[in-house]
Amino acid sequence: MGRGLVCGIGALALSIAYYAAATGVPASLLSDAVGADGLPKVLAVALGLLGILAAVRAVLARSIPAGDAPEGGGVAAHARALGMVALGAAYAVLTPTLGYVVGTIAFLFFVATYSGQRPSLRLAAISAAGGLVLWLVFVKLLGVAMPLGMLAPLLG
Amino acid sequence: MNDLYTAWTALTSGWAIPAALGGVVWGIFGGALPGISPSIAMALLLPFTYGLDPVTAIVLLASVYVGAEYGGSIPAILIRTPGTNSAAATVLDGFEMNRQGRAGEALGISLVSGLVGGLFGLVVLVLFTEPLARVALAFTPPAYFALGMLGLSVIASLSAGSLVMGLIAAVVGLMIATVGTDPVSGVPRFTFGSPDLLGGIRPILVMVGLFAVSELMVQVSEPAWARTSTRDTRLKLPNWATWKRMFRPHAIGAVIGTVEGVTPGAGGTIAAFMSYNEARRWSNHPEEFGHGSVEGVAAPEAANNVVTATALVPLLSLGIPGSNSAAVLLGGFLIHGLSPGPMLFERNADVVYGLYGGLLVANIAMLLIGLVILSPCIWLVNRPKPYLLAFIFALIVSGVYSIDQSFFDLGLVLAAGALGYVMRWLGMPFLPMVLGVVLGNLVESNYRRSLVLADGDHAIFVQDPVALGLLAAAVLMLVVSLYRETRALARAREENAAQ
Repeated sequence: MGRGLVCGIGALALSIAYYAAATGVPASLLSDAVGADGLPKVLAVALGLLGILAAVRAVLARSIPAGDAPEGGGVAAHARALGMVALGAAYAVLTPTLGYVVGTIAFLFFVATYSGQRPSLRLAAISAAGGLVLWLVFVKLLGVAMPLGMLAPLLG
Repeated sequence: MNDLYTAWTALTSGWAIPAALGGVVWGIFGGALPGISPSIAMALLLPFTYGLDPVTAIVLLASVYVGAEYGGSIPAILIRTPGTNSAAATVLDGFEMNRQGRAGEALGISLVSGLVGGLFGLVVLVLFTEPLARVALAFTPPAYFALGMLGLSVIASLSAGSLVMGLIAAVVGLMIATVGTDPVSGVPRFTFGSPDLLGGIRPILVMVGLFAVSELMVQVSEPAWARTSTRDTRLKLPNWATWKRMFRPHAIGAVIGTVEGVTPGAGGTIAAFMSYNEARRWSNHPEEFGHGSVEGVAAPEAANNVVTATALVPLLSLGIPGSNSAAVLLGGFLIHGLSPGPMLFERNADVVYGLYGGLLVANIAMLLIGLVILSPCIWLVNRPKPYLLAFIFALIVSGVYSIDQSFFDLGLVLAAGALGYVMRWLGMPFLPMVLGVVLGNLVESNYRRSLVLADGDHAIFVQDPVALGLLAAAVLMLVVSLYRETRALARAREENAAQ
């Protein structure tokens, strides 16, 4: 299936889902003539029409310029890219427990390893130094309340 | 002459000059960190201004604003992460220049364009505050709606040769902007019961995800041999030939930045995008845009730095803070018992002229500090790729969390990153989506407010002269863009057929 067709079908599916969600927007006594669901419904219809247009164009084999994502790697490359998002998600889930300092040090270590750096003592030391620098910048300099996690008794 | 003497006395009698230098350093630092907006960087210093004299305090805050708006372009060029909303337009050609090994050149262009823009904005602020204040007052809800439509009209030419894809991206951006509390009735929309979504989705989260996270995903998925490194490791200031090429985009940025700056609520983001679009339209080399164009960096950088000065016009003359940063500056005025407005120029001329002088020092300091720090910044992004990716990602997650201390925001950024990756695979341009997210609320809320004011009569949009003019300009821009787009496609088909 061509990229144009994927885009068209995706846009159409999104427009249907968004329209369905727009019909669930509650009415309000304070509402105006357009209403809170007015623009969303127009946008859903517009997206649906554009999706159909993109799909039809793709079927008629009109070329759509390719993007700059890796071409050759295929599924493996996409899976590897998604792994980066998974690392970010793991950071979001674990940092409240680990705390900002420990979570960030571990994050630096694992992202660098995932990106091709061989695990070593040097990498661990650079990750630890990096985590501490970021902690100094965000917590001490900018005063951001980062999660303390398991270090709460020490830092709290 | 007397005014110059007042400015000089105000600047030199206290700590205003060191405050301007320190403010610019802090601003560049804050602006370069994703998630720390200019207004946050300013707000962090607000408590420290209590003990300062009024001129020093106001100069300090205004200098942070100048530094932060410039600082946002550094990560935009070096790591594809716009530090501020208004730096998003710089990503396109700035990062492309970096990819071509021209990071030093891109940073040099952004630095001098920022300086040119900042100084031009300062001249406008000093000479034309009073007449321009009337422009700000002429903006009613229909005019704001028309301004938003004018901003959206550039989508056709930002669609990088695929109008349908660009329009799909723009509509999805507008859809993202509808998430949160309805601007008129206050009912929740598309929040699915999550309190985190009631305030809507901040444009910076979408931008960081689309540009930066998707870039990390692409980088990590590339085989090692495909990775390129920046060859240009030193800051490179523009030569005379480059200066000549930058004249037109600077002029475009100056005009658009002035108009957008004096309009409360418009801000540097719209100015940057519109300047980028107009610079391409008037360029002798439009084909270079998106592929590392000098003008593609110069125009948005000049425009958003003009805005740092001209955004102060409605604040100083009318007491209207047109942006978050201006609101923080207003806080600085109020802390010291000063009330911005027409009487400020009569009662506290020393503060006003001291501010003008401080902004001049801040712009010069921006150049000097840029000359010192930019080469080390380029060196930093030339470290081994795995370390670089890890530190960029850690900086992004830390910066995003620091906006609202929310891991939910981080989830949104990751989702936007995955969306950006898919969009890149599909060949779908980012900028129309960014414009949709930035302008969606402005367009919808003012459209509906206008209709409430006019009892549902759409004639209000043509009865208001400012709205009519802006809408006519939007239609004209759209028609010209569509014509050029169609002509380019037809030419490409003819060339293909000839081959």
